[in-house]
Amino acid sequence: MKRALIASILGVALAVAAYAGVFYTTTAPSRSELCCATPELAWLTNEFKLNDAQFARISTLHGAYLAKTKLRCQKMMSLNASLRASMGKTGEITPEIEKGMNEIAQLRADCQQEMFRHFMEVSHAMAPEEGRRYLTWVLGQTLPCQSGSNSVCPLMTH
Amino acid sequence: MKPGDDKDLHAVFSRWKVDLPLPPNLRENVWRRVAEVESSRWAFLDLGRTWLGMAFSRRSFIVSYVSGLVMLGLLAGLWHGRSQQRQVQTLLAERYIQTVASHQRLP
Repeated sequence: MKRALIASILGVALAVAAYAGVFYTTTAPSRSELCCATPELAWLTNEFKLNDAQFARISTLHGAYLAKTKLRCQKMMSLNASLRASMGKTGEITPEIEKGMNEIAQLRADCQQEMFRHFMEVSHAMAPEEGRRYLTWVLGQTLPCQSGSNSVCPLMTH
Repeated sequence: MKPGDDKDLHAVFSRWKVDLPLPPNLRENVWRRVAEVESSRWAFLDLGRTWLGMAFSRRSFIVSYVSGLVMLGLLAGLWHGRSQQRQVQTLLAERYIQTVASHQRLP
C-alpha cells in the first residue's frame, strides 16, 4: 500500500506539471497579444499572418484612421448634445433642428464611408488571399445581412 | 380429500418420531457460518486491497499508472488551453471591430 501511495502522489504531481506546461504553451500566443500596447493589432497580425512590413503599414493606417474617427465621433457627440438641448427647449422640430439632424446623418455616412475605405486599404496591405479573407470577415461583422446576425452576405464571399 | 378428512394422517404424524442424530458440531458450524456472512461484508475491501498490493508490486503497473495520470494531465491542459485561446481570440476580434467601427456604437 505504501508503494501505491507513493506512485499516486508522484503521478498526480507529474500530471499537474504536465497540465500546467501544456496550458502555458497553448495560451502563450494569447498572452503575448494581450501584453502589447495594441492587442487588436497583435491579434490581426497572428490571425492574418502579417509580416513586419505589412504590420508596420497596417499600424500606420490604423493609427491615422483612429485619429480621424476620434475627431468625427467627438463632433457627432457634441452635435447630439446640442440637438438634445434644442429639442428640449423648443418642444418641436424647428428648421435648425432639422439641419442639425441632417448634419449628424451626413457625419455618420462619412464615418461609414471612411470605415469601408480603411477596410479596403488594410486588405490591400495584406497578402492577397489573407486580404480577401480579412475583407469577408470584417464586412460580415460590420454589414450583417440580417438584423442581429453576423452572417456574411453571399455576395461578399465571391 | 377435504380438510376434515385428515384424521388418519394426523394420527400418523403424531406417532412419527425422528430418530436421526444431529450432525456433529452443529452449534459451532452454525455460529461459524454466521461469522462468515458478517465478515464477507469486508471481504470485497480486502480483495481490493490485496489486488492493489499485488498490482503495485509490479514495476510495469506503476509505470502504466503514472503514465496514465500524466496523459490525463496533458489532455486536460491541452483542452483547457485551447478553449482559453479561442476565448481570447474571440475577445480580441470583437475588440478590433469595436475600435474600427466605434461610430456605429454612438447613439
